[in-house]
Amino acid sequence: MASIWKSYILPAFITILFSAFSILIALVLIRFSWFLRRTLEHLIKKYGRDTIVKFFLQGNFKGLIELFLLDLREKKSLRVRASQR
Amino acid sequence: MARIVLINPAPFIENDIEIKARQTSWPPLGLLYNGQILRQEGHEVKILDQDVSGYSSDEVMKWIKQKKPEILGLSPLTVSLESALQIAKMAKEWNEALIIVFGNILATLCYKQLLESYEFIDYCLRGETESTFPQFINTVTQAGDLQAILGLSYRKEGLIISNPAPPLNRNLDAIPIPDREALIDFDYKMGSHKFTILATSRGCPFKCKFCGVHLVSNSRGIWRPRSIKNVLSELQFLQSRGYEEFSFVDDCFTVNPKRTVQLCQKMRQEKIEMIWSCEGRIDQGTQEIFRTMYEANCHSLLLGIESANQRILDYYNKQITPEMSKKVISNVKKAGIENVAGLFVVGSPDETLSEIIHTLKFGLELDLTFIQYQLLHVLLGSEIWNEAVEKGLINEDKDWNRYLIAADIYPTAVKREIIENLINKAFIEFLARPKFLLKEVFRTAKSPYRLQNLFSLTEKKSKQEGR
Repeated sequence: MASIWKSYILPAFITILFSAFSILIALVLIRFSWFLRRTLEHLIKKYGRDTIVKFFLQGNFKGLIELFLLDLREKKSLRVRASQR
Repeated sequence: MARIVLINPAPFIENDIEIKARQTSWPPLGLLYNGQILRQEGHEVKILDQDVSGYSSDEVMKWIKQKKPEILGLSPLTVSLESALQIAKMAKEWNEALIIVFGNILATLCYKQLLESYEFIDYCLRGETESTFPQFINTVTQAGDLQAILGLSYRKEGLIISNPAPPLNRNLDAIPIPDREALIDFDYKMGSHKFTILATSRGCPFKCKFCGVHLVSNSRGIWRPRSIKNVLSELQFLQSRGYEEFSFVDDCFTVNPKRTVQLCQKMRQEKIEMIWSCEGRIDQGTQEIFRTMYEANCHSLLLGIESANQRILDYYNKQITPEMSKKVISNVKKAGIENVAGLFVVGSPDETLSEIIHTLKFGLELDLTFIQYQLLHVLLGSEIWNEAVEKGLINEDKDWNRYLIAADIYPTAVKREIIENLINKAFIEFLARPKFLLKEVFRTAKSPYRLQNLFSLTEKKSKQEGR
């Protein structure tokens, strides 16, 4: 029994677990990639490609996150202003 | 002794100050060198980087009024000419006795147009001004003989007088190390690091068609290095002032591989711990050189790959091949340098749409950590500029102050809107590829530099939330 467990069931279980994990990571990456595409399109339209480049050069994706947060803050303040009218 | 204000005008005025302030993080090195020399002569000097301060022209004027200068120096490029003219005009209206002098490339190449068109500009100082600026200041403040100042252009009895150009300064070690903090009231940052730039040499022996680095000094083909000892003393000075990161902004940093290796080895021996970046040429790097650079704390390298088409590379006179680019990127990676960025130029006069797409795709195929696609600019005075003038596409008298793109002026070129659209798509594709994102996750996890940057973002965010 022990040898069947070690030779077949455990490796199969690990393979299935690893595959599931890989698929999950792949799905997360694909989903994030879609989100990033949409966000970049919007940011390029709003700030221009050169601004994106400069922010990215200041800290890779951290630069992009900062620009994204800046955009969110602007949107939020616009919403606040609109609701105050 | 005179009170002098030097201004680096902003390329354009934008309403969003936060965006504006992040646009440029490179100090104006030319103004810093000039400012330091003038300080050593006993003058009172302050520099304003309008681009980084985010000041509007009115705010710049307010700043100028506070400083009460006798001399105002402006250093515009084509993109910042409008701001420079606006500031100079307002400054002259405020104080008619204020002496206004323009420097840098426009003053060097277009002094005639500037002095003829704008009454409020008193002088243009052409070429590299480290030796002529102090002489100019002493002469104008003591009503001396203007004819003795090499490189000076000015108005006299309705005529534009232009003194002979100054000789090329070959002894760069004689230029003092600028005390950056005393001259500019602004801390430059790269990510979370205190940051600055320096040049270990000037000039470039290569003759790329689109380039204009030789134009201010008129030093085409002449490369002038500083001694390694002199460069090290500046690096030690910067380290003692708490700088954590710098960039070598030489016109061609890796031109002499032996010197590059020597400099990097000395930096290691002298325990220069600041991290740094530089630009490099595709044909000037072996794995050993990149390894030495990595060991001296080089973390980013920008490579001018330009095109995937040999025909276009030959047109640019780059003297490289696309295969060389692939090999060099692999060497840089093997050496351990963390970030490798590729710079590409598209939209040359007769580049076809399929050639442009080939270049954009080539960028995606290379193992780069960042990519920058640019439209071919027609820089004032460059070989492409001269070619367009000869073909009657540019009128030098009218277009000298315009920022020109080849795709806009050459009827044979692919339309600018089409290229811009393709570049945007390729740029998004580069950053949003799942494979690239996965690599970025691993790179960040392995890199103390990136992790530090990421943590500084979390810190900043929590500070904002705490307010």
